[in-house]
Order: sequence, then C-alpha cells, then structure tokens
Amino acid sequence: MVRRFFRLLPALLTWALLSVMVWGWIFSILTDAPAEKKLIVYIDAPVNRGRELAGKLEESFPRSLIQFIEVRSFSYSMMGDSPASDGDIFIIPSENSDEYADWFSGEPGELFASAGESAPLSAYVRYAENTDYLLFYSASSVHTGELDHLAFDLSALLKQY
Amino acid sequence: MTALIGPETVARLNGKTCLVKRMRLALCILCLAVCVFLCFGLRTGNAFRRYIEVCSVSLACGWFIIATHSRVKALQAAASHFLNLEKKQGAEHLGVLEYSPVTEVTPDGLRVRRVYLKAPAETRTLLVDEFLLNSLPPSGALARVEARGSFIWCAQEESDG
Repeated sequence: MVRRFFRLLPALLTWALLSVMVWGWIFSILTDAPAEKKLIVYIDAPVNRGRELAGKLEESFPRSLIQFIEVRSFSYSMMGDSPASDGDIFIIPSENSDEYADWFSGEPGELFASAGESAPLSAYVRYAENTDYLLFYSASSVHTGELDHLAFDLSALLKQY
Repeated sequence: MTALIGPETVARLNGKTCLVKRMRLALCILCLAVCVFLCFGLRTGNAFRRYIEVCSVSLACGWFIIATHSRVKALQAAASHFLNLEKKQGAEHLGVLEYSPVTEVTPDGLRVRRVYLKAPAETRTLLVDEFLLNSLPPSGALARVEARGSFIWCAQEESDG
C-alpha cells in the first residue's frame, strides 16, 4: 500500500497543481466584470481583510447594478496586472495627493480620515500616524456621472464602517 | 493440463472493468456539476471560500480516478491476457495449470499438492485476490496461495475421494 502510494505520488501532486491553477484561472474570469458592473477602491495604506469589507459593501448594492466591489491597497497594483489608476475611488494621504493628481476628477478631495481622530475603516486599514487621508474620485470612472453615481454612494457607505 | 479459468472469468473481468469505468465517469460528471453549482452566486466576499471548495471537490475526484487507474489497467490486462489464451487454446483451456506429482504434508497435517498457474505479472495479484479462490476445481479446497515469479503457487488440499 505504501509503495503504491509513493508510485502514485507524482501523479497526485501533478493533479493538485493543475487543479489549483486551472480553477484559479477560471475563478479570475468568473470574478471579473465590466467597469459598469464593478467598483474598485484603492487605498494608499495597508489593507487587512479587504475581501471581507468588499463583501459587506456588495450587500448594499443590487446585483443587477454592481456585481463586484474590490478594496485594494496600492501594493496590489504592483503585483497584479491592473494599474491603480483603474480605480473608481482613491483614498490617499493628503501630502501625496499631488503625485496622483492626473487620476482624479476635477473636484477637490474630501477629508476621509483625520489624523488623531477615529477614522472610518480603521478595522480594515492601517493608516499612517499623524496623517490626513483624502478621498478622490477617478476621472475615468463610469460611476461618477449624473445617471450613474454609484461611486458617490459607495464613498458614503465607506464612512460608515 | 487442466482448465482453471473459463470464459465466465473473462466476462467477470470485463464486467468489473466496465463497472469501475462507469463509476469513474459518474463521479466526474457529479464533480463537474458540483463545481459548476458552486460557481453560481459568486461575490467578492465568498469567492475565495468557493474557490477552496471547488478545488477540494476537484482534487478528491481526480485523486480517486488516479488511484483506480491501476485497478482498471489490471482488470483490462487480465481480460486481455485470457482472451489471447482463449484464441490460442480454445475457451476450455484459459488457464495453464500444472499439478505437482508430489503430495506433501504440511506441518499442521494437511495433505497438499502444489498447483502452478502461469500468469503475467499484472494479473497475478488480481487472480490471487479475486478469482482463484472462487475458481478452483471442486476436488479440493485451497490451503495456501502465493505468487512466485511468473507462477501462482497454490497448495491444494487433497480430497480423500
């Protein structure tokens, strides 16, 4: 029995690797959606349990309007294939806002988290100390128009967590 | 020479092969159905958990098929072996069986005669496990069975009659 197991071990390991990779690829396709059906929040700070937060946020939107919400830190864009500029909402330290000014719509940033005060999303985001964070909307977002203003709805929701 | 294994053995081998193959096919279909079902209703919050579940189901199914692959091969080899013998020697001589002319007495007092059955390696264990015990001539009970080289060695208890 033991010998038989070791004889089969290469095939078992190959199947395990193949299964994980193929299903990972399938799931990446299944969990993608066109920009009109997705909202992405980028935060320039470490994010913990981003999936959990995104899952809670999704519950507030009808599935017919929004299929997926993602909450990512900026480091995600360095490892993945989608740039941070694809986000709909950006939460950035105020001193860094000029660096990403090209990404933002023309409106000034809203104060999202203030240094020294209790901040929204503090259970999920590790803010830098003594730093104010501003919220900006993406210039290229499809959710900041008159007919589709879901990005504004999401920003109001973010402040409640 | 005496025929030990008859055409019904081939039918039994083919039947078992067919059964194992059908079980594997049914399991594959069931596994695929379960995986597809788990992919429904994907949201960001549950996507990772569903991915783990799908991978687990897929791994279990694949490992079962790998583990039974050698079994199916052995069944097919045994059936093929006896079909070839049937073509060469006729249906009534599927097993090449040689009786030792010497009668021995075992330490526990059994009078036995050695019986040699020539069989290829991949069918040896199958025969010892599955069919030999059911296919002996009615003249004696089986006292001991071993595989030795290309032969299966059976100590057949001698009948008094």
